[in-house]
Amino acid sequence: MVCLRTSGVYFIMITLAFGQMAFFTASSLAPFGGDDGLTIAARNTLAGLPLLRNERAFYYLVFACLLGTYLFCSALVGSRFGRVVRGAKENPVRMATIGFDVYRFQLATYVIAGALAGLSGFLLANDTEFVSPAYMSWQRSGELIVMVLLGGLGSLDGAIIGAAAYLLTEEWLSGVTENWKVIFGPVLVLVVLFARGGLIGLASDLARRLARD
Amino acid sequence: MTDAVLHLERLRKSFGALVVTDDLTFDVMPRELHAVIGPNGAGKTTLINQISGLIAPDAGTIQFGGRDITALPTHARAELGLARSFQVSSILPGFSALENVALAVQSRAGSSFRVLGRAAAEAALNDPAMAALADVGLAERAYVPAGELAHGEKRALELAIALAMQPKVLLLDEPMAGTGREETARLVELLRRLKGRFAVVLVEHDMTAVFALADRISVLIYGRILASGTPAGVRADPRVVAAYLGDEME
Repeated sequence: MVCLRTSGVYFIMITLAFGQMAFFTASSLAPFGGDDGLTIAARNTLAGLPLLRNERAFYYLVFACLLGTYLFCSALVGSRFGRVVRGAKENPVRMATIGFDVYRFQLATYVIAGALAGLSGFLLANDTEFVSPAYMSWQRSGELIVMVLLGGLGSLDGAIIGAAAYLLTEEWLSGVTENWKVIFGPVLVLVVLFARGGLIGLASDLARRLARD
Repeated sequence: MTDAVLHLERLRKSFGALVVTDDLTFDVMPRELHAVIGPNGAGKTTLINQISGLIAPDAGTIQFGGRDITALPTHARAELGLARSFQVSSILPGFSALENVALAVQSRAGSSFRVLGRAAAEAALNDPAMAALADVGLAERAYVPAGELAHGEKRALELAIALAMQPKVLLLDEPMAGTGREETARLVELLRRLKGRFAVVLVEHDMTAVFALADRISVLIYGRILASGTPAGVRADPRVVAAYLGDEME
């Protein structure tokens, strides 16, 4: 709520600040392992059934969640609500003068995003059977932003492709050298400078060029 | 005047030491086209911004349909029926012309928290939007991204957005700014046709357009109304000629 009263860079900085507050609070909670984190004894049960213990079943659950989220978000973007939110991104003053209370729509979007992040946190904790305050640090938030930038801002496919590309690149480059971020950093700068639409943008540019020939 | 649809009472606004709206009292009657003219820096756009709620006045009140709206935020004023256009076209460039207008229809229709159903396929939104586009002569350009429209078409699109809001008062901030002679003539013709459906506050530098359209003209200089009256009366007013019209009319 407080964050939404600001906008642009300030919004990002305040959100980060709250994240850091949560990080340090969690780090100092000794009963939960402090900054060493906490190993979870067992995965959650679903309706009393230990469904998540089976690796394959767990994989399909995660996959179903991804698919469900993707479908939900695509419906959202095309809906009346989504159209207002997209309009507010392009021109908030215009939206206000048409009669939309932009703040309410952004707040609702923020809550939806938070709920989805909560879902993914639940799945991550069940996957690794371990939680630590490191998930709350700004480096982790940064990684998520990098994924979105890499894939292409403002697109659902972009987010998925970006996440996959980031993880695969990390896997591959860390095999080449331990300091893989030295290579990854400049690549990211190039993406931001020359491919504003991320990988998705590059792909659609390429498709357009091929279609023209 | 109590039956004015829009009434500003002793409105005052200053930026630092510069007083841009100086104890201004101003009326707009229902269905009237009230033009506001004046030299650059007279405070015309600041006035429009205060009426639409983008800038808060330092003192004074704004009444709309008999209700004090001075403290209402922009979107609430729009919901009451106060539409506006901008001096520099303010549209959603990535949306098609039709979607730009459909959003205005949606704003009137409410239920914008609906998260299911494809808004782009809703006839209840698209049909009135298409009608508004046809009204301004943009029907054939409905599916073009608004950012790719020609300058004059963007100005017409702003009018279509405003029309779709079914306003009681329409604030037009220099709708002819930057348009060529032919486009200006087309816009004047369009405004003449729309005139009478609702009240219009027209801020404009093009004197031919103003004198062709206005029922009443107020001359704004240094944040004050110098003179107000019928086009003929204002044209003949020696103070107005001395202060402003002299150079414009030659």
